[in-house]
Amino acid sequence: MKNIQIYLIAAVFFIALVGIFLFQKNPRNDILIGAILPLSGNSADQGEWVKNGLDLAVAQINQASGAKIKILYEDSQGVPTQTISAYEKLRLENHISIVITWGSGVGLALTPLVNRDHVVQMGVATAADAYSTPDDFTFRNFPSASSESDFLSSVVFNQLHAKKTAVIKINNDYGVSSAVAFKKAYEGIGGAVIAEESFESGASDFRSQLTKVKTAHSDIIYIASYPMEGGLLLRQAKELSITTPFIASVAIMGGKSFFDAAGGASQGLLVVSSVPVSTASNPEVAEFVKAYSDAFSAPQGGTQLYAARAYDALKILAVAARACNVATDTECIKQKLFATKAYKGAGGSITFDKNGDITAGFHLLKVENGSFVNY
Amino acid sequence: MEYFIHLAILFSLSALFAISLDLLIGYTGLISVTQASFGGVSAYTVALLTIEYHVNFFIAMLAGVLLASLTALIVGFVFSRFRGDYYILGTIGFSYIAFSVFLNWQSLTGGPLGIPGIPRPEIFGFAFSDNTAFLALTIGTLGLLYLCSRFIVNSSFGRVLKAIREDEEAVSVFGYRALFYKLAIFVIAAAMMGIGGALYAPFLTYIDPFAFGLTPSIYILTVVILGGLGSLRGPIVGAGVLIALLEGLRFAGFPPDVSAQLQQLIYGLLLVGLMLYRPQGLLGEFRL
Repeated sequence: MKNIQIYLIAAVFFIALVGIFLFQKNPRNDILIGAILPLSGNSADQGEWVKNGLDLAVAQINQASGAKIKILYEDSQGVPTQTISAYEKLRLENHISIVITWGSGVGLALTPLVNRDHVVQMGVATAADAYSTPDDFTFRNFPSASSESDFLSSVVFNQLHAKKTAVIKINNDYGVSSAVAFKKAYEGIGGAVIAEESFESGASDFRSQLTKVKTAHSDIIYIASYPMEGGLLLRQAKELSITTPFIASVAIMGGKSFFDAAGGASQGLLVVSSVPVSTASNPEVAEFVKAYSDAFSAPQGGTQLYAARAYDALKILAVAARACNVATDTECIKQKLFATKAYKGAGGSITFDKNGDITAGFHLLKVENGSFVNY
Repeated sequence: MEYFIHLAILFSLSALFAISLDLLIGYTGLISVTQASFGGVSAYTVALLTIEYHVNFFIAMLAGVLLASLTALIVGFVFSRFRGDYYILGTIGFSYIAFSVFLNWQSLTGGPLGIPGIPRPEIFGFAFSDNTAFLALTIGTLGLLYLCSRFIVNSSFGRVLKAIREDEEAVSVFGYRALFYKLAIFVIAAAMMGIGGALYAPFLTYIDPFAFGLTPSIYILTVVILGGLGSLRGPIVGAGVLIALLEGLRFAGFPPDVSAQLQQLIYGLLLVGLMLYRPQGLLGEFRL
């Protein structure tokens, strides 16, 4: 008897689930765009900045005439296997034809699926080189790890005259692809990577890695890390009296949490960014910073980086989507994206090459009194 | 409605994972939290064989299951000497080892980047590329393994397992070698999990180490405990309820970040509530 009750409860759950499906409708003929972001989990702050950038762009796009854009957010927790369910839900229930994604692992996991379904994927924080695939449905408004590494290794070798580098990387999709790309580029121009250490995502103790790196006596230490781990790492490096200068790739740029984690130890850190921080000679950047400050709070560092990337990506997508029949013709959206030439955005000029990658300009920044400024 | 089929596949795979673990926990009283590792061994084998060597999926699955069983045989030989809490600790240890191998053997597994683009199964020119066809495959497998498990637990072998669960000393006194039985069921459970892992890889078309770490193992444990220990229908009901509850939230109209946090909250509350009010799970006959 008791078992029957339990089966009944299970049945009610299923019926409720089916019922909820049937009420999912798109009332107006809006252009639906999916966005799969880490809204919870370790990278939740980056996810929020991307979301802010997208929301800002949507508000501006929908003020102008033309089909309205609506963004359907799904949480990936930054975990690729979670993303696939989220993507299937967006595709099968909401019939999206464009999806915006955050992260290399997520982007790579979805690539075979979006090409199968002819859904346009736009990565807004996707660095892995493997994501460069010619003439398919994947694009990214984020520099590839190798293009960033070409710039970074040249700065290290030619500008800073560092011939020996130690590498510390986060052991995830981002850190691994960045470290591999850096090593290849740096050794290609004559530098030597003399030590390589890694730590797990979410780690809080880096002393053993730092001690090993310290004994290697490199000219500079390159970190490929996320903000939280990066901040703690710098703080512990200071405690261990490591005086070797640090240079970091873009993902270390965080907001307040980065500076809080680092304490004063981030002072002097060099960072490579693909988004210009200076608003002086750059009206698009100035306009974006003002709009973002009005809607949320003044962006800085990582906030500006991710929000600007997302903001530009959506604006470009909206133009392409409005020019095509979104529901049936994603090939048209794809061609329109490939045809985008020198679009002036908040993150610099955007042109997609045959791989759907952007050729970003890079800027060397340094940390000074708790903010990122031009070096 | 097509998404419902996607969820149904997810459900049948979860149920399959949970049944394999229930044989260990519910019937033999061995609390293992490394079940996902064996799924991982098999899933990586299938992914590598089908992508790199273009081996047919079903042959790759066989290889995956064999490799998972072999791994289980080796580590199980050590574990079977443990009892109670030490068994749990031992399996946690192996879970970390396996995860670390998946994560750091980058030349083979791709490390944290995972392996994308795993092809769907094909047999005699028929491809299970459509989700409906794939659902038939997973439901069919679930049914088959359910029957196998029923055969196992109702056999004399199964009765010894239950006796080990109740009192391992007593079983030894009667002249049964508990070690042998514990090892055998550990390998059988790993082989079943291997079948599940092999199907999981081409279903998602993507695998990475995080899908086979400690957290997924605990998820499977939750399904078993929710559904009921020592009942074969329990894991099926548990998988159904948990997936309906967690995935249903996607549609409940909450903002996405709230629904993600709600998912975790409900997941936790469910476990605590269950332990308080129904420690044997919905359909279970055995309490931990």
